[in-house]
Amino acid sequence: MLEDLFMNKCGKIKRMFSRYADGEASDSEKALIIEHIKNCDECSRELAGIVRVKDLVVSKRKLAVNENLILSRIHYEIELRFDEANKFSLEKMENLSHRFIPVPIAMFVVSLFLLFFVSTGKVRSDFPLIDDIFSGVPASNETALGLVLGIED
Amino acid sequence: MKGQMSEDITYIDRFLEGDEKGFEMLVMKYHNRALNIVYSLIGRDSESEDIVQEAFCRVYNGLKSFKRSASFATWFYRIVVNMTYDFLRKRRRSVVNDNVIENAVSDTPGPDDLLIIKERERIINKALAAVPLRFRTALVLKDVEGLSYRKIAEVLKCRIGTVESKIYRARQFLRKEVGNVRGFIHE
Ligand SMILES: [Zn+2]
Repeated sequence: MLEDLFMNKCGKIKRMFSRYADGEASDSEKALIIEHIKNCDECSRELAGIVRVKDLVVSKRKLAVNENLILSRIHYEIELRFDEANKFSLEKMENLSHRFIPVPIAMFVVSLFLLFFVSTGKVRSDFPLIDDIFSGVPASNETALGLVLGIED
Repeated sequence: MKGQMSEDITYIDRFLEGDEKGFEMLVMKYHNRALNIVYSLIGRDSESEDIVQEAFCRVYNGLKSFKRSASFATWFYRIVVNMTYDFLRKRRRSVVNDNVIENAVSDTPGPDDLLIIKERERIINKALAAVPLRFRTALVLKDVEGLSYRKIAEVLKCRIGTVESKIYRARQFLRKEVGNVRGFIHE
């Protein structure tokens, strides 16, 4: 029973070890930890281990790049991206023109097609006035009147 | 930290007023710090530099939308960490062996020390690589960059208690890993 209580306390204390090693423990927490590890070898070992690995990572060699080199590299990257963005917007404009130029061309071709076949008489309507209009022959007054009054010849 | 924050705000204001020097001051202040965070997370020096450069490009274009409710450092470190995660995600997809850690020695010490330093670096990097990323980031922000738990919680958008337990777990992994190397750490 007493052992269980002690184990439970170890668990609670261990959870504070990182806080302690990082200098984030409160004064009362520090006092609690120091008091506990005096009488608990296991926790004492664990705390020592945590402090060691912390020191190890803190002492890790730091990379350092020369300031002028950093600035020139970053300016280069920014300019590169700026150029790319401009190129991209130009490309987008071109794509847009690719998409829109064919429409008037297609309309022009269709009109030519219609004009050609109608004028050669391959497409004939039953309605004389329409034929006259397409064939370019001026409609007679009678035909026009007949159209208006709905009289066929 | 307050003084640092107002210093950063001065640089940002200068930049937004059209003075490139403001941006350059931010680069000079944060480049090597970010570089060491990324390097400790991915273990490759040349790729770390690419990530940090990319992060600064994002800062250059995004400073206008920077909300001053958070500190620049918090905002910047979040960008750096997220970009590192993106890099690792892509690398996982393209490279099968994710745990390869290369050595990087920034300057050249005497020939006698070089071997010891390189070996030590290799062991630390290897041990760090063995720590799951979700715990490693908090540890690196603490032990490499020296941020407080509160700052780390802001960068990682989690509770301070979560930061503490992540760091604790990371150190457990490290102890196990480093303990496997005979003579490296005496316990
Ligand atoms: Zn104990």
